[in-house]
Order: sequence, then structure tokens, then C-alpha cells
Amino acid sequence: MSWEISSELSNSIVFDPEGREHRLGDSWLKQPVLLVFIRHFG
Amino acid sequence: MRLEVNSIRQTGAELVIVANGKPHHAETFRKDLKLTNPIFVDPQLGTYKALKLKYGVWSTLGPLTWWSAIIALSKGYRNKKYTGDVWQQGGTFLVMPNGQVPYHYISKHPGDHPNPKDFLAILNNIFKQAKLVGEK
Repeated sequence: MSWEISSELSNSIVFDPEGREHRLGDSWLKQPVLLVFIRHFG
Repeated sequence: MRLEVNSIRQTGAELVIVANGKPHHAETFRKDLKLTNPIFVDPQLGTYKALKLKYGVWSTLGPLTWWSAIIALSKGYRNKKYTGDVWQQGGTFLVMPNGQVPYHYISKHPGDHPNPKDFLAILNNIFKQAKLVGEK
């Protein structure tokens, strides 16, 4: 069964390690990504 | 997952990590593990909620967790200091540029992880098909 990514998720703002904002959907604009959501660091 | 980064990149895909915590936690994580792939944080958990990833005491401390914890401890894994919301579970999604998701895995509890062979098989198949199209 194949899902589709919602616009809500694509437009979500996340932060890089330097604290800069990024639109999550920009990650997969040009290439497939394996998007892994982890529980926590450590 | 770290061991699979090169296998993932060989298919033309990238590993993108989203974590539950603050940016400086991600920086420490990246340095400790020498990661070169993109890593982001979502302190408000909006992305986790949008994907309906599991959350709560039962999914974190329920009986399914106990067996995973025993196995992890027997292999020598130890959790260090926790960062972020400890009740949040994770998930794995293969996302194509057109927004299709040919693979997804929603973790039910801590220690519940996808088998890398599953998503690598799909990635390798996509890579082969793209290569065939490119040769025509």
C-alpha cells in the first residue's frame, strides 16, 4: 500500500543543528529520501 | 541504520534524520556519530503528529518494550542521557520526489525498527528501473 505525503508534512518547518529553519519537503524535491524519525538522541 | 547509509546513497537516495529535541542536541549527535547526512529536529513534534507516529506511556513502557529492552541490554546497548520527549516513538518513510511513499514503517515501541533489507530492496528496484529508463 502506497501513501502520499501531505502538504502539511511537506510544509513543516524543522531545524538543522545550527538552528536554521528548513522546509521538510525540500529534502525530497530532487531525490528520494529515507526519512527516519528517531525517538530521541542518546 | 548507520551501516546502511552507503547502500542508500548508491541508489541515488539520501538518509534524512528527524529527531525529537533541540538543535544543539542534533549537533552533538552528528559529531559523536560522524554523520554526513542531513539531520533536523522538530521540538514541537508537528511532523511526528502529521504522520500519526505512536506516542504515550503504553507504547513506551508497555510489555512489547520489555522484550526489546532485554535483547538490547544483552547486546550491551545502554541509553545515555535522554533528550526530547521520551514518550514519542519513531518511524521510517521512503519518500519519492513526487510525494509518493512506497515504503513506510511505524514503530510501535522502543526497539521496534524496520528491517533495512525491506527498504533497500525497494530502493534498489527503483534504482534499477530508473537506470533502465535512462538507457532507452
